[in-house]
Amino acid sequence: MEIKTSEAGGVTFVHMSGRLTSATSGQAYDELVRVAQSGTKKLVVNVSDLDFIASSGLRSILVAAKMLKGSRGEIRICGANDTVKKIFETSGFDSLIRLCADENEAVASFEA
Amino acid sequence: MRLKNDLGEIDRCLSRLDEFCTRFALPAEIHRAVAVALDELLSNIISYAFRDDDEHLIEVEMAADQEQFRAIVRDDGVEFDPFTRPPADITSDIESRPIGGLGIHLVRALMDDVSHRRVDGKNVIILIKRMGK
Repeated sequence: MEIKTSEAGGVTFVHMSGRLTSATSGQAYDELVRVAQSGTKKLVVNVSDLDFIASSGLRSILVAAKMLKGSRGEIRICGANDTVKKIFETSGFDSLIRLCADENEAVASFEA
Repeated sequence: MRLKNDLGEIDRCLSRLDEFCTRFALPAEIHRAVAVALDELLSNIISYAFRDDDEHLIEVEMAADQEQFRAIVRDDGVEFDPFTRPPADITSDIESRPIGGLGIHLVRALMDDVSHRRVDGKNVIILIKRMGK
């Protein structure tokens, strides 16, 4: 699993690639919590190069989403493949966090 | 294959699954679903099934035919049927949504059939994923 963070136009992008397994989720947790605490108000988690995500990865995203909610920030997830989408949906994450097709749609949804 | 009760062993099992799925040309959907299910199940077993600090072996068998993929996981840990746990909370709002409890929920949701039996002092878990679903 690789994780890269960048910023553009007041939006923070966290790009994950590979497999978010129970073994690699600690790395994702640390980075998502760091970003959520950095004061960003708009966070896009780009999972378009993520093969799959285990529950420990879901927990990391949920913790970041709770933190952002507490600081009146917003979070979007974009680019989920069918497996990742199914995992988000069956975990009820789609009712908590808006899933977008790509980064453009995610960024546009903040302005809406 | 046999794994030690060490979380680092899960990657070795997922690599074996990759080889298996490549050899039998299994669809990516099935490969990914089984990878998540095995990851969840093995991390649960390794983290919670053993009450001592000894080394234990966990056996994982994989089989596939034209109808289904099947994985059998055996451990000699404490008797535990993960599938009797109550369903996870997937509806409350973001402030009150619990952080945990999703792992076994995912295994159930991603597999077509799951079962647990206790046989000769071992937990035997069978995961089935049907082809073309």
